[in-house]
Amino acid sequence: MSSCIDFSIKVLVADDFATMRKIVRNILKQIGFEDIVEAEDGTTALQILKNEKIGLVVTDWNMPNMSGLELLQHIRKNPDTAKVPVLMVTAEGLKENVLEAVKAGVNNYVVKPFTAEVLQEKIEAIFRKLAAA
Amino acid sequence: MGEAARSLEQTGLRAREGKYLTFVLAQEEFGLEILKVREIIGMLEITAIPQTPEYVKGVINLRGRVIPVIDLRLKFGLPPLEYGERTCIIVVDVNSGQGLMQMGVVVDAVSEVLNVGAEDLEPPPNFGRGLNNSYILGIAKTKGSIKILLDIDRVLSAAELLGLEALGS
Amino acid sequence: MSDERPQPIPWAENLERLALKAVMLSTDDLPALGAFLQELEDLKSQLEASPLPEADTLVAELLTVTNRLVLQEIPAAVQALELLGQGVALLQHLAAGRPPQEVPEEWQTYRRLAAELLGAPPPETAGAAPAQAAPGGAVFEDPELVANFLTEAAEHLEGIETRLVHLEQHPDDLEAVNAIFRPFHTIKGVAGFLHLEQIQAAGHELESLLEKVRSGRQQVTPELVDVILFGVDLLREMLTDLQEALAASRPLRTFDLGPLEARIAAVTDTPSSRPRLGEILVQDGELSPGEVEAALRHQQEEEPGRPLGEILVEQGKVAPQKVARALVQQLSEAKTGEAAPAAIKVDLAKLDTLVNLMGELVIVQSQVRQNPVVLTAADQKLVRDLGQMSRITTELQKISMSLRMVPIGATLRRMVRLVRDLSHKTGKLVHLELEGEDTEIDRNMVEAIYDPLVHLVRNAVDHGLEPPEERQAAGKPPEGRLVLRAYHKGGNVILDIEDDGRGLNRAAILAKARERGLVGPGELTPSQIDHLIFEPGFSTAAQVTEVSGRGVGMDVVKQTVESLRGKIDIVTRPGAGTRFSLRLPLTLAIIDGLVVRLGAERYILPTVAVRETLRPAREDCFTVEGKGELIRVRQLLLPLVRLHRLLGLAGAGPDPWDSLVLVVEHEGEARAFLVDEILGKQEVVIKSLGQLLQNRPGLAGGTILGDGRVGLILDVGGLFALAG
Repeated sequence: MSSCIDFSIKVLVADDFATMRKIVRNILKQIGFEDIVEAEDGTTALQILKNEKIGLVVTDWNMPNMSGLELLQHIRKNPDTAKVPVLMVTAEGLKENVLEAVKAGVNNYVVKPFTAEVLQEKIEAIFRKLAAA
Repeated sequence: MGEAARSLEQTGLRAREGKYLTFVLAQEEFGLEILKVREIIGMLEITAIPQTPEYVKGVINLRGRVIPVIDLRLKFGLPPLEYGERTCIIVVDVNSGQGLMQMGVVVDAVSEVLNVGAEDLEPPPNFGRGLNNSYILGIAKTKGSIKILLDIDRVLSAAELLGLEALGS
Repeated sequence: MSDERPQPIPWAENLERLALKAVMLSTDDLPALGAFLQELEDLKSQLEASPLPEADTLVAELLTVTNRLVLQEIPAAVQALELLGQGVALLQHLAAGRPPQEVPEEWQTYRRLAAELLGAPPPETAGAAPAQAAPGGAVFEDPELVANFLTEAAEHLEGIETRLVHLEQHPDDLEAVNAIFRPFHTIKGVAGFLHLEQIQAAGHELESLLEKVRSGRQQVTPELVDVILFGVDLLREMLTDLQEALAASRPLRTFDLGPLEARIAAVTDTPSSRPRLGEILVQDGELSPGEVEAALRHQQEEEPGRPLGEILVEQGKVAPQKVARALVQQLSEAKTGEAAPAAIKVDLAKLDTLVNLMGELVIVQSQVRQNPVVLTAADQKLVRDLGQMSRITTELQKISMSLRMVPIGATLRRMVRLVRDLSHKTGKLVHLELEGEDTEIDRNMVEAIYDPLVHLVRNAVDHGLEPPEERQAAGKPPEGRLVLRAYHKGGNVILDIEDDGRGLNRAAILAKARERGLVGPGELTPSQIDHLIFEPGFSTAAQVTEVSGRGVGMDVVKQTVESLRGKIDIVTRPGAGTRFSLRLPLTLAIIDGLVVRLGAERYILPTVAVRETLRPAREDCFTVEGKGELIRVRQLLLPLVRLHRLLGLAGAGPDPWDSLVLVVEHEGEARAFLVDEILGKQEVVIKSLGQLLQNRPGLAGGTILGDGRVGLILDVGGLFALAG
């Protein structure tokens, strides 16, 4: 099942809350990813995307200055990053956010709090689709 | 000199050692404690305040704050001088006895910042004329010239302000 | 039929792309669904521009289904995809000019699918949660993570408090709402991962409350701010408990979330108090309360999500028409409920514009009245009407100015929390009393006095009031009393901060002031000593306490108050207490002024005092023995005040008939002020002239004019007094 995920890619975790970044990092490690970078806001995330080869972005919706949605829009707008898969972390009860993100081209979303299994499932779905395309 | 220094110590005037901003008024050199000086600005347009003594030139807009400006020449009874390129307003913090307030004083020109040691200091002599003795912290004799060190709090003191009140009403 | 086809259809191309995307859809391909959704929305907006019967509803339904699909609210995803495909095909029929009756079977299929999928509304909240719940294992119960969380959460809570203060002042600042929402959201999120159920639950309550604010369903009110602060406190307690539990390896305390929930319900209840269907049916006598209860239980246990009305009809308890009528009633009552508020919110900028325009209206009407045609008009009715108009204009202007006035209560109430916090921190017992909460003050003033007020309250608790033991030893009740009192007096707002503490320690103040070189060795009156605490950098606290030692001194308080054209006073009695009195002008620091020229200088007269401007005829100017110069303004003889002379300016000024006269009113009296010319009308910000010049008779202050120079604002009352 996990065959479609390439665990050698670099994953970018964007969240303004350091504890949250650590949690997501732990879960990603548990799934099998090893190369993980963090950004505390959208602007930093874009900077990292510009300088490093990122294989997956896991971003929070709620961030000051540049929200996850805006980050996503920036990623999609730039031809260099347009194809980078983006997984949006959101909270239950915020349906409008999910719809906005989906319209803006998010690859998948996950609702907090999530388990390693759920996150793995979502990431697998992303890469399965990408492989099929 | 040694005797003078000792007498300074005795009268507690050693506290008057320190840095002074010196400036010119009618060819004479004066000094202000540097700690009192907020900034030095060029001439600004002054709005006159009615019914105030001649030496209260009025008020200026200092970055949105309205502060009064005093012409030191006129305050000391010296002949007026038309304001020119070298004319400056020294913005000082004055302790009026009711709190600190900012005021501007107009001087002919600003000279330098001078380090005055106790050995350069002499107690104020008796001037007579317009220059009230109590305005003076001391006389500094450096580099062959004499500077009159002003007690700006006194120059613009509460008593002076009361004088203003009396004149105004 | 065919020649009536609406051709070409503007959205044909869009529809083509939609059809293509429909083919590509699969339930687990979010990007594809997203693209489809985008196309649908484009189509929807195009349809709004050029409507086509049936198509609008169809697109709306397709949007609903797609949205639910994205949100995983539709279990039968394959059916949903079928419906989307079918729907797009129908759209193509419609676009080609084929109405439903031409392709009845396809519509039937679609309607059947739609009825199955859209018939029952999706369960409201249950949606995403079950699939994600139950995070397993102790992977995250990592003390380091919890420690991180503690620090970060505490920081965020502090940030929330500061932002709330701002939000209360700017209830429309959406970014501020977001900035408060975000930390709650994150705290809740992280707590979820760390299995901190109670923190998560509290965070969730507050997040949901703020989500309502974000979406405009809930207004920012002082009550709302109070509730959020209450929540912040609760979270803080929980965090403290967590920290202690972590250190002592003990289980977490159980907190009661009931009070928080109740308070949230209390603030959110008002707007959405829509009567429930069951209640209406019971009121109408259609059902007994027991029947409704039974049906509700059935709904909850057997068919969650199914409307109550349907269940009742199916159970044969009530006729469908009755349900329909009750539903209509429910909606209309909800609507009237929403329309009820007696106050509306107005943009402050609009209000300022209104006040400005009123000022201009006053000027224009006085110009009209000075018009020679009007002045020589013999028509008594015209003269009377103009007089009436002038009175109305003045009244209007006063009212429009008063619109900017708000009760000071909200500001005072914000001290409640501060006092409580201070009481906790210092261990002193404080009973806070608020008086005169209805006292009105200019809105701009309210913001400006907040900081000084906070400082004075801090000061009163920290330095003024004694610890309980000390109070008891002094024969006082252990609980200290702090009064915040606001009232109007002589055109000012007085704000008292009064405590029954130990009073100022004059000996200590004097000693400190001497030590700091603030005063010489001479004698000072008690009042002078008291005022020393306003000296820059002065602090009597033996040690800088956590509470008051924030680097802002009483000098700043005094400066702020003075910059508002206010005054601060102290009355203190050793052992009995201290009262700080702020005397603040009622009106704002901004006034509407007429800029007039007197000699070389420009002066500003408050527009509100100016009744009219006129250029008198020579025969209307008199000099009367013992009364001085008089000007006849219609039937009235008004004393002429030569401002040049009154203010001691050079020259006597021009003659009135060569110049302009302003009819100025003060406390029911009128005078004719002679000026050189009127330069214009503008809103000016009043600035203090500083200690040295602030009490000049006839001057209210200064202002910075457009060219950066200072203009002097005239004090009408003072000028009247000077003129005698």
